[in-house]
Amino acid sequence: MTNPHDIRGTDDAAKLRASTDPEENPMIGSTADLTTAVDTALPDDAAPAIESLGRGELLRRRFLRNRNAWVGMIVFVVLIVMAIVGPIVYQYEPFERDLRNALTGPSAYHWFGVNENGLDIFARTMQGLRISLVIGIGTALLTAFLALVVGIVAGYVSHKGKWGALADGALVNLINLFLVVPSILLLMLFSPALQRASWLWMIPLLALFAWMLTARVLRAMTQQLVRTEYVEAARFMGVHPIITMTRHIIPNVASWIIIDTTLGVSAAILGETGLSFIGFGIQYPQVSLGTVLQDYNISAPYTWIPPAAVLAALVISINLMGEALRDALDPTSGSSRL
Amino acid sequence: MFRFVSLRVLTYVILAFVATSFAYLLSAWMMHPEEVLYPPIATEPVPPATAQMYLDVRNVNPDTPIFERYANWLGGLVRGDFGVTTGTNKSMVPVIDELATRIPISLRLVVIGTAIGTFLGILFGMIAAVRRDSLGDRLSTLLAFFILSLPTPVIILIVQQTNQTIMDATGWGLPAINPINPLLEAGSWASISYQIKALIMPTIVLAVTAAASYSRYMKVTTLDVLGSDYLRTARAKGLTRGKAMNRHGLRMALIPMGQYFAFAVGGAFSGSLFVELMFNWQGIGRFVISAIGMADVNGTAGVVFYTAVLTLLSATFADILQGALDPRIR
Repeated sequence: MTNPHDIRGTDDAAKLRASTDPEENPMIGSTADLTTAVDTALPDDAAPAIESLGRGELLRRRFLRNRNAWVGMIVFVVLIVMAIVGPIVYQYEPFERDLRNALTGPSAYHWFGVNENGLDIFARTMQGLRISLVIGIGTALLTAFLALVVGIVAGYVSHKGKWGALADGALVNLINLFLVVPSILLLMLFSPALQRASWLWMIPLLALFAWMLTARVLRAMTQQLVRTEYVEAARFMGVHPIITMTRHIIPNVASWIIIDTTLGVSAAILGETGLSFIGFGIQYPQVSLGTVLQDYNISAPYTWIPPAAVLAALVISINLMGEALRDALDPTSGSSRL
Repeated sequence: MFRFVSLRVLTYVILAFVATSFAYLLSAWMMHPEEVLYPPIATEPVPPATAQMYLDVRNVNPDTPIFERYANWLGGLVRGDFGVTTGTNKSMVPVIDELATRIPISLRLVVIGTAIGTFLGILFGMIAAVRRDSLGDRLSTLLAFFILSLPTPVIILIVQQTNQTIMDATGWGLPAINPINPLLEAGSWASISYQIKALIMPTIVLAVTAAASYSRYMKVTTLDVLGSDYLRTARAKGLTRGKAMNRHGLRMALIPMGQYFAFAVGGAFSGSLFVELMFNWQGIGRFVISAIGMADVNGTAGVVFYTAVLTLLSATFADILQGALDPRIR
């Protein structure tokens, strides 16, 4: 407790410290003032200090220690290489018809077989893998960006007076509104019109219906961060809100965003595949894994098992990486998380 | 509690209304029913007056301002009239009749599948949490991970293919597609048993997908409860692990699940959409696919209204459940 009548300055404190014997009163007397004591503190041949790990380095080590993460990464890289190299080296195009061999199983010429329309399944699967990968990664990045902007802004303004609370309430109700109607219905409504323009429209469209839950979590996290001392201090120092957000808030939620983006890739791929499967996704000049699955024939399992297996391998590998990231980040993962 | 539930219900009603209005305006703006009216094989052009009347009767005339069409539709909605179907089918069936015949087919699937899936998910999730790191826990977690990594069509294909393989091998299996067999006499035992058998595979698909996600959530909430103070107190009083869990833990673990359940019905709807498509059930899912495909504005809006009501009912149910379970709200 500071006594208001005590107006001694630092000079007085230094004098007091100098006049007190450190052996007698270690609280006030300081050994640091004694010039003789400094040299003996660190011997020259001391062992090197323990290397301190940065947060990123710690995360990287924990992630690489996880066996599932390695499996996921290897499968994912193999699939990417297949998607890039496959269509280049393979002799058939995704829409090349070989009607003489229609509905025949895997052979040396048609690696995955031919479906009943005479289309080569391997060529279609590889082309579909390309499209699904682009859409999955693009959608996840865009979703993360949208969720980041909306979630952080809503969380930041929610404590800033009446207007902030109003904006925040509007966002929460908007999220609930999106949740009332199954997003697949709205996607089906928009998709055909946009597909006529370009298949890449699938990315913003899927992102538009995927950011809500992430934004909700980010909003809650930001609300907690805004109350911390260093954000308050930045505010009182007159730092611009946008700089505060990029410098103090985003680094704190970054790891969570990375996990969510990783898992978002698989969610986007599943959404795109489902939509293409019912005929409202990727259209004719392009092929997606969903459109390949569309040509299934129960009496000929090779028409659907290879694309389904590729799709499953893709999604599982991404989910394995995402869960390994989550485990690496969560110190209690061994005891309280899945 | 009454106040709590009624306030929530009011919010849901407003949300459902806004969502349906949005959906109507969107579909009226995005879709062009007039485009599908003129088949390219028509030999002579339709007189403009006839075309205008045709579009006016269906309330899809693009010359009428969109908000006037919306007002017309809203006026009908108040009287319980959803308009008539449009598109390539010129028969003008009232949407409400179409919904009335199709909703029981879809609802049967969604309700049975969700109920079984929720029960199994809660059971497996709790077992996985209580018997942590046992064989059952690892197996159910792994299974849930795989099921959640597969899109619904692939799960359906796996179930159908398994049935087909068994049928090829043993000559006995479940009906592959179609909910009813029109060749059997209606009301006879053969027809009813066929219907029950036909229900099995679609229900397995919906129950398995629901159970996978519920078991994950249940595991997390149960683990939270297991680490809580009141459960330790209950154990300290002398209750066994199972008794403490049943008497105090289960109830608290179910509370967060209620909120999740409210919005999971939307997922069940999209699941049933694939099931209806691939098992050839003439339910709401198939109806909406064809309605959007042929620019049926009124039909689409009707289906959105149905899903909004479905979500609203399940959310209310979840709130009542929460009120009953959570002593802090009463």
